[in-house]
Amino acid sequence: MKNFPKIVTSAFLTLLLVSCSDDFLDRVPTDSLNESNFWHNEGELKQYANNFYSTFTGHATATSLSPIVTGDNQSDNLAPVDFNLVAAGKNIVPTSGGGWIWTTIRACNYFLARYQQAPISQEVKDKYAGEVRFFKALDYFDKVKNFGDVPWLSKDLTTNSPELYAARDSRILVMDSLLATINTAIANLPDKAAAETGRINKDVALTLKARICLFEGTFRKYRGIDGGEKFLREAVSASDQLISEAHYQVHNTGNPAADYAALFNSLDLSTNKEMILYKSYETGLLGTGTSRNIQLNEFNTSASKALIESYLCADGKPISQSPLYLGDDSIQVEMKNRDPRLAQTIVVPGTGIQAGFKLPAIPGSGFAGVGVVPTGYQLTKYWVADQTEFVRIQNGILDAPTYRYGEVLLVNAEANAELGLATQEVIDKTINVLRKRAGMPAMVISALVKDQRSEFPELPVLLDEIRRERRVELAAEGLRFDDLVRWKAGKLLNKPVTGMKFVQKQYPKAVPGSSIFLNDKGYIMPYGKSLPGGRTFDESKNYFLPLPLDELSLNTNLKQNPGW
Amino acid sequence: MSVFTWLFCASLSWGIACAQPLALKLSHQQGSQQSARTKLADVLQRFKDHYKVDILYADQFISNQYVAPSLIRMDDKLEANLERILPGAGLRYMEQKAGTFLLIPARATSGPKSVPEAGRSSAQEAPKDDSFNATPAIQQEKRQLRSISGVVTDGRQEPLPGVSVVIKGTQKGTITDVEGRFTFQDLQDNEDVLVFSYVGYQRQEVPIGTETKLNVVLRADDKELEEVVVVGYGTKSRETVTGAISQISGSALTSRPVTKVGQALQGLIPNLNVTNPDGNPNANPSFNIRGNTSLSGGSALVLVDGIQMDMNLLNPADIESITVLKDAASAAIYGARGAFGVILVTTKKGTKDRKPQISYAGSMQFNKPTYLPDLLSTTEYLESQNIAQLNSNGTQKYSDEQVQWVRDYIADPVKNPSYHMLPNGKIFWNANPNVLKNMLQPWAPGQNHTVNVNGGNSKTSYYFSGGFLRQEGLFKTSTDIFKRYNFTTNVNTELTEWLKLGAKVNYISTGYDEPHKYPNKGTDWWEQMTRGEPQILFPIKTPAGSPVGEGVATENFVNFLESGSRKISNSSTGIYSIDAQAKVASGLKVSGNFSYTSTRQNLKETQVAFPYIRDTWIPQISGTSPSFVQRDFTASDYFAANLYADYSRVFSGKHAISALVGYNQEWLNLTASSVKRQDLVSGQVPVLNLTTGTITATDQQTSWAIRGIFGRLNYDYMGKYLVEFNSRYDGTSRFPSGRRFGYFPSVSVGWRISQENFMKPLARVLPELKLRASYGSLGNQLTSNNFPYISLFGVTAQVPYILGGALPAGITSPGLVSPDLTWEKVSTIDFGADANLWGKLSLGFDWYRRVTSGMLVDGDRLPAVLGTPVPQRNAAELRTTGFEFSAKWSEQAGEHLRYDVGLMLSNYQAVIAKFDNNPNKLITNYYKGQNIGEIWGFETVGIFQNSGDATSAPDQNQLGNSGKWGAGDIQYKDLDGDSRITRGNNTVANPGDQRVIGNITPKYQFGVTGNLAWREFDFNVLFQGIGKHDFVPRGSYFWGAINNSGAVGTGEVYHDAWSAEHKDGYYPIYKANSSYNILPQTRYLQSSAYVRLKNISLGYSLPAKALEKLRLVQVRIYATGQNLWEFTRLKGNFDPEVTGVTDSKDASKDSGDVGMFYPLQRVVSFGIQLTL
Repeated sequence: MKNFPKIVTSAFLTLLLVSCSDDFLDRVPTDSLNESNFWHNEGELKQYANNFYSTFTGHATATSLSPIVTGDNQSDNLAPVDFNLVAAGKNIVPTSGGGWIWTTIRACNYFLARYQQAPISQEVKDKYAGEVRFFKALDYFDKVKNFGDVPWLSKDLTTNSPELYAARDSRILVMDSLLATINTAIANLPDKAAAETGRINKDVALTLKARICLFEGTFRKYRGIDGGEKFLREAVSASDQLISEAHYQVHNTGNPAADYAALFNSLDLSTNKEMILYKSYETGLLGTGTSRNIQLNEFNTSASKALIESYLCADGKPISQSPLYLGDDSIQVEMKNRDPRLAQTIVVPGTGIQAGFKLPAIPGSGFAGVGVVPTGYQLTKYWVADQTEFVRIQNGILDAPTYRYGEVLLVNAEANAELGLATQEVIDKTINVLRKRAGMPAMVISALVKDQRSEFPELPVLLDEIRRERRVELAAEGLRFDDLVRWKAGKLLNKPVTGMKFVQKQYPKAVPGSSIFLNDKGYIMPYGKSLPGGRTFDESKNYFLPLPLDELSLNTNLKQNPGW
Repeated sequence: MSVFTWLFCASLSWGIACAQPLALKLSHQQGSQQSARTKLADVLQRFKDHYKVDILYADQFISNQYVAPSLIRMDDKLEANLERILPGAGLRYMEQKAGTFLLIPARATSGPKSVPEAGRSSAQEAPKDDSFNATPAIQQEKRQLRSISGVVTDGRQEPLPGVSVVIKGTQKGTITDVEGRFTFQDLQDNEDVLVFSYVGYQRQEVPIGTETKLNVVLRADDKELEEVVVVGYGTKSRETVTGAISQISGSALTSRPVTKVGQALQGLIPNLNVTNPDGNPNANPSFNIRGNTSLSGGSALVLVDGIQMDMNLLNPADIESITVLKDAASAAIYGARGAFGVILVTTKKGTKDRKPQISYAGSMQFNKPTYLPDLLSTTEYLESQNIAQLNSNGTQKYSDEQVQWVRDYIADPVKNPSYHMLPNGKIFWNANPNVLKNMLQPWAPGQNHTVNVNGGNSKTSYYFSGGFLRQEGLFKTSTDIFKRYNFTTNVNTELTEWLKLGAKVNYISTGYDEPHKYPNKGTDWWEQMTRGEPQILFPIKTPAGSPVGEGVATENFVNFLESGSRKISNSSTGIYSIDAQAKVASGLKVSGNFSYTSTRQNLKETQVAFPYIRDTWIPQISGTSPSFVQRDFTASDYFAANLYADYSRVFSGKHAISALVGYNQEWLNLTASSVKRQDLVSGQVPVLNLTTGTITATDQQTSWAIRGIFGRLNYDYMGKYLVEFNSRYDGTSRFPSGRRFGYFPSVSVGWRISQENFMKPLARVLPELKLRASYGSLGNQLTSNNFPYISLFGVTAQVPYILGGALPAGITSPGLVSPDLTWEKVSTIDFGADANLWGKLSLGFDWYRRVTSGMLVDGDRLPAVLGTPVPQRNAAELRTTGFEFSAKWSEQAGEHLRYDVGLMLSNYQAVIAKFDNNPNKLITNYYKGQNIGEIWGFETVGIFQNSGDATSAPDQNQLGNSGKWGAGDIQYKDLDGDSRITRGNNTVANPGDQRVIGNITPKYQFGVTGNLAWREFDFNVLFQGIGKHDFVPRGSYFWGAINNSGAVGTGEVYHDAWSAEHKDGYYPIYKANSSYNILPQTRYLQSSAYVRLKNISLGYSLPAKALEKLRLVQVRIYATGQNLWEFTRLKGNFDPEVTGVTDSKDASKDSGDVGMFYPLQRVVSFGIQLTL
């Protein structure tokens, strides 16, 4: 038995190591949610829905341009220092990406296919499903605007779903599905009063519906596609509902010189009755640099002369008709006697909000430390006259409007007009409410005279003036390109982009032809050097974006948009 | 395969060449044939080979000694054999250490029976006996003229018994006794040089002069010590190794001025590719063995004394040896984790039968950056900005007046103000700070101290060590500081004759204290430097007379560095292990060990808010606020248990068999939490309970486990033919039940041609020649997370949208997972050869192909409508082919000079052999047939000299710059002849005008070592480099405003950019944001190949006489330089070693733009090593 202790020791060691249980290798994630422990309570549904709110980009963050402000760079309203590729018809076919991104749609469909499992009340479930449907509609709206026909996906796909290789669905099908989706959302979402502050409610969804339906209705009407009228009627009914429920009203304190601006330069929009939805910025939570960027013109953008000229004179008449118009020999003169909204949108030199500010920093002006104002028309919309906000840099707390009641009124007026239903009564409860706030004379249908310099010479004068009102009221809010698309007015983009009349003595350092380029009448040509041939927006092609190359080769049933 | 053929032919021709002398030798042997007895020397050699032991002896003892073959029984134990044959030769043996037997003369008073106990008889116990001081041969000469005596010791002051001491030029000699003593009574006048030699030690010749006492220290011969090779769960003699294994001794790493062990390994082991991420004192170099592993990741397994840990935590002074198992056969015993090679680090242990020996090593070092970018000066910057903007949109960024202000200030900073007020009320700063000078100190000091104690008695040995390292970073103020404390205790004892126990404690504490990087100020301090304003125009503080007074901080980033905001990470790692070894029966040992590794990491980051002046006189705080304090705690507990038995036996004296079976199980639990709270009450006391703002917190908790059984079988016939089988059956928690186990077998064979009889005549020229081949298949379980088969919901801690007065949390939908996910399989085939010529030149060569199949890669590239990343699948195969070669010439040239020169060379290239998921072969993704690392780019025709050239050239508008191509822009070549420059479909079949222009894989990595010892001096040099390395420069440091309109950039591009006045400029027109001109293209493809003097050191050891006076065993002082010199063709004053990896196909491998790194450093160091 000499070996006895050896055997015992070895056996003990063996037992020690091998005696572990069989489930030793069974480990599960203990700090993450997975399919097996989800869909149990309201909190989970709510957190899931929360994630979609980042869709509302609002103002600029530290590194990006403000999507609201610079949205109009892609239009005839604004002229950024480097010309916009889409507006100039110079964008190219991308390899991948290019807007053909489907993560939001999948995230929505993933939720919609499963949320019913949650053992909670149907009403609560519907509330979040309503939010998710809203975001699905919003994302699809973008897809249709960008690409026209797109695949309509009603469930989340897996690696072997046939939908991966399907052809695009027709615009008709997609828009009908989209309409059904937003209608379900409206039905499921709580009323404004019942909804948690800041969350999507029925009114927000109605606003989106109005915007979508106006878009689709006019898009089809001006291209002779069936169903335009249906969408226009839906636009009217959605906006009518919002008007009649009277949850909102145009922000009007009786101060025409500031009420319009207050929509865009208020640090707190919570009490502003015009806001259907706004994005809040708070110290320590979420910051923006938009006000500072606007003041220093760090977005390097500016308004086009075309936008400036669309503002009426103070008497309610276009500059071509009004005796109040003093011409445009200098920017100071040009700005006189105009719609008060002009001075709340564009800097009027000499009356700048900030002390010491005299002239915009046009190219070659030698003004350093600020961005370039390519046309000379510097934005003042979103400019907060508050040094504290300025020095917050990227931590500013300027709130950002997302949907405002003013737009609803414009939708209502335009949709009614397109349907031939725009009576003076309609105009009074829509356009004239906005005019009143702006301190402008009311629009009287019977007194309208066609502007001989109108961009839409063929258009009935009422529609023409409604479009003008829309352009002025919503300038630099990112909606203008969509308007041009739905009106089939892309050719407007090919008009030469000009700026203010250049006055040498105001800018002694600028050298025309070298540091700044002028046309033969002395107006600034912001793209005189970079785009000597002007913009070439091709209507047969550029209304839609091209599909990325990779996608065409991955799915051969996918066809490129016409012209690309 | 061609290599193998070559080897075969080479060995064949060797055989033919050997045939002639072989015949001669045979006839000679026949002529001198004696009795049936066998030479003792030959017998001992056979023992060495068969029992895998070292038998050390002085040649005199065994010359002309013969043994009766009947006494030799190779199936018996070695000890038994020795006991039978040694008494007849008047010898006995001592087991010096495991596997090493020393033969010494038998004591006259001791009979053979006492011999088995020799292993336990220490020097102290041995009775003094001078009777064998002189051999009979010496006693024959009786002319007593003078005498000398002394003691021979090793470098650790241990007496060396059995050392041969011969009078130079004669046959006269003696050997030392058990206490290392020797005596000569009868020296003649002319016999004045003694030659000391001993196996395993360097030969030494000592002139005696008029001395009568002479103490000699013999130094261990590193080459001899390398002969035992560490393998998985054991050791092997170098001769019997059949896999691809490299080993270096720890002495190659000591006295190198590095903070991490890994840095010292660079260039020392062929195809152990060490990559320094940057020069941050806290940066951990990464290890790769034999090149590309798997597209899904995978790296070498690092085991320190059998326990997985980060080698970089170790104190280099505690390392005994580092072994790299490269091929699958060698690593197979480690199964699932050894797929991409194993690095085995063995730490120092105590030595039995030794008095405590205390050693101290200390050094001071001084670091400075190898390269700093040649940033544009302030005036150059203004000029370059104006030019860049003018070229871009025809406008001027800075007015002439403003440029003049800057010039005036530079000319006379006293008379001219450092700022002007602009008409719009803003401040225009026009100071001229030297960004680099303001930020960096000229030399960063560091120090390093180690004390260790080593010793033991006959049963127990111990090794204690403590180390401290401190290295400062490069910043001038508030610099970063890296500290490390190491404590090691290693005790081994023999409890009984058959049971050994060992315990080891290794505790490491590291701390890295660095200035906090303000997120609003960019990603890194080094990235900050590329930015224009505020760095380049702002003074550090406001000048006297400014509206806010003097000395107020501006936005210059020196103020951010000095703010007091810190990021302090401390971590402590404790490794506690016990092991036991039981000799259960003859030849059968059972070993077990259990270890626990506790890692605790603690990070505290504070951001202090402070006001500064930017462009108005109202102080701002936005860039520094909100202030916050963040604390992260990570704790991981890692357990490893091994139990294995090995058995070895020799049958019929010819067939040696050894076998090993074992069981291994390891598991890890990790928890981590992080709390961050904003708005400090006081910047002086940044703690969580003195904050008032928003709290964010995260929590993490995860675990994994593996379990496996393994086995090894070795068969060795006559030491000539070697076969080894390894296999492992492994399970992992990373895959679901049912798919989690895998079986991974391997085999390797070796043929020691040099042991064949027909090679005997060449024994002197070619003492060693071995051919090896191995094949094995292993698994790779390293996946992106611990649960790759479970689809997890994501969490957005803060959705950027205020709801209910806070940023709400969000949950995102889970992605897709493949239902049949399992192990990746990694197979390696290896052919190798080892040779030694003249005993001086050792050569090693291996050719290998590693096939990683079933790689976890993103599945099919699917249409974007899927809406989520495609799931990973076992879908791809990678073939990495390469070779490694090493050569080392070592020689004792004359009495005092010993040197060696070594060369290491390796190369590899990986090709994707299977990648179903990219059927169209889009070049933006992996595709079948792709050489990993290839760079697709355009061919450059040149630079348009005028706008007309651009108009008539093929249309380049698809690349961007729509319609604006003009003079100074790059003209790309129309490779497909369609008169348009396009990317085609971006597929291999239709790449448009792109082609493969290079490859980012580093080729021909090499190291050259040289060691030279002359008298008391030693000199070491290491060159390391890369033979070929293509590199596409990108980023703001290199391209300046071309890449990013506001960037400073370097003079390299700006001064050599095309302009109407400089039409032969190498770079394109200096135009803001003109990225379309700097697409990957042939013209700007750079080579970051280099050769670098990685290390050079010169040491001096005090001679024995001086040591004796000082009562010290060893004193060495040295000076070392690291990264002192290099040669490279890389443009733009960047370090060629750290250029940043550009990998368009794998963003995780994309490490940033050139120059945006903590610079590598040149180091000079001075140190001392003392042994008491």
